[in-house]
Amino acid sequence: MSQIVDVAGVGDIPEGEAVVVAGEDNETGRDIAVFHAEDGNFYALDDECTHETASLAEGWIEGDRVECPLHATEFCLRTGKVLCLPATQDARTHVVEVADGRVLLHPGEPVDGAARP
Amino acid sequence: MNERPGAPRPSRPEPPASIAVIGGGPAGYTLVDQLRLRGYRGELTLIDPDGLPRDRPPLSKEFLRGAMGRDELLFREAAWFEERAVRVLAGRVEFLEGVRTAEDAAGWELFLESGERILAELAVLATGTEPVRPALPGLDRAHVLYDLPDAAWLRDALAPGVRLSVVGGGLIGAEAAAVAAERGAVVTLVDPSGPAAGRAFGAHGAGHLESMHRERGVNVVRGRLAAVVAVPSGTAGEAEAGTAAEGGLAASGTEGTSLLTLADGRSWVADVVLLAAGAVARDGLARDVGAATAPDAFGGVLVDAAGRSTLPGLWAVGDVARGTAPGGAALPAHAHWETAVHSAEDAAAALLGQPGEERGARWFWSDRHGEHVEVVGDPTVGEVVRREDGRGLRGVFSVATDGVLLGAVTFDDARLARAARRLIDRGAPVDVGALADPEVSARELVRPAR
Repeated sequence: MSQIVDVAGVGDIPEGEAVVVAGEDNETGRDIAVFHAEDGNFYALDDECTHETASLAEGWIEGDRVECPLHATEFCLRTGKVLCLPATQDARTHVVEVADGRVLLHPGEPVDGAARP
Repeated sequence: MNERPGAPRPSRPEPPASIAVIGGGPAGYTLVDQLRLRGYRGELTLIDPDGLPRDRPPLSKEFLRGAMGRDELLFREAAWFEERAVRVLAGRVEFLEGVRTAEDAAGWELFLESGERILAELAVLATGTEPVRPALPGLDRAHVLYDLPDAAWLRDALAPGVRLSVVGGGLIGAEAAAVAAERGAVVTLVDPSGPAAGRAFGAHGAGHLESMHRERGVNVVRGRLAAVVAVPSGTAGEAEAGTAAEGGLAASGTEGTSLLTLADGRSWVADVVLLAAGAVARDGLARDVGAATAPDAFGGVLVDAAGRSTLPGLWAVGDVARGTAPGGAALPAHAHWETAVHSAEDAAAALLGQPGEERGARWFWSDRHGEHVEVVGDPTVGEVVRREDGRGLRGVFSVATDGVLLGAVTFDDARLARAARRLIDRGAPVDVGALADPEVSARELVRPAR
């Protein structure tokens, strides 16, 4: 189990925005995007789209989905499930918890019931 | 089931017992995927010359750049189709013939080049488009960029210093020109009519794309091509013609050079000539059996909103399908990736008696010189509003006189494209000042006024 990463204060990531925790800072070796969704919750997926080289953190976040900035594949933020082409592979999820006003990332710990890419 | 005798059954059409999909691009793949996902249990066959379905847009982009291999173009591995009982055949369908598939069912017999025949109650054309070949002497030898072998050949030919001439102002030619310039080729783009691709990007957007070409060293030539003549490599003819290119030595392994001459007499030499004068619907299979097709140059199988042609049991999806207006006239063609995918989703739903989805403003993308260009809605109409920031032009918006957003072209700004799409779908007047202001984020643009 990787070390928990203190990503930011809850107020530091506006709704509809995301930040990237670099691979070297989260011990999984892959960049992880932490999203503040419109439902108020925080979610985390591997930042790189499963289709091509694109950062999901730069995508459009709406409802419980993020739309890849390159070719508009949508992923479910809760489960990592890919919802439309051109990607066909689900994204890896990571647990995020909020405690004492801080957004805490559990790198490498998949969300219960999430898609298993 | 506890159905009351005599109770009316829901009026769901019985899906056909067997479906053959001809074509394995984004539309053909989406159709078989969606049919199984939505519960279709009949026989399902997909036929494509390349076998397993592949994505197409990267052929003139990432694949041509060498950033994507041929296996990465596959939507799915063979096992995925086997698990879903989708039979995938590598082959070319030469013609169809209407037949009885059972005592009470009509259908089609598909005749493949290999001699194989396939029976299906329903046939769906997903054959896409094919390149236009203008009747000009010498152009029949030109290369085109249409399928995987074309793209693989061109990728290998684009060595530094190779003189590439792209003939035609279409999207694929412009993308290939950008990739070739990036790879060090000496690129000439012959566009007969005006800023390339004005119909797709609007005059303003197309003008900016053309200036990007020039900045990256693509020699954009305006003129009508009169002839393309083969010149044996290293002959006096080549030396006399001269080249606009510096250090334009023919690469080894090319198939000889060509002398291109414009109607006004200008001429130059190219190692590779790429014909990219646009595409037409590959609708021959439907024409041969008498299905109605669009009467214009692009053509296409006339279909209703679900994909039904004018013949029973024959449907069409993707670029080969042409939607019809209520009066029956063909709608303008929109032969782009997402439109093709959506048409296949809608056809799958209709075949199984399920509701289709509401579709909003259309979208497509292009990649140019490292910039990701996106188009939503109709960028050819209305007043132009520009949005620029420190990096340069980010967006060109088309706004109607009543302030409603009609279309947009964005440059390397995915969120701006998505915001524009939502504003177009909303159909309410937009704040033009905010559109033009790079300090107003894309997300703020769609936030309802408070």
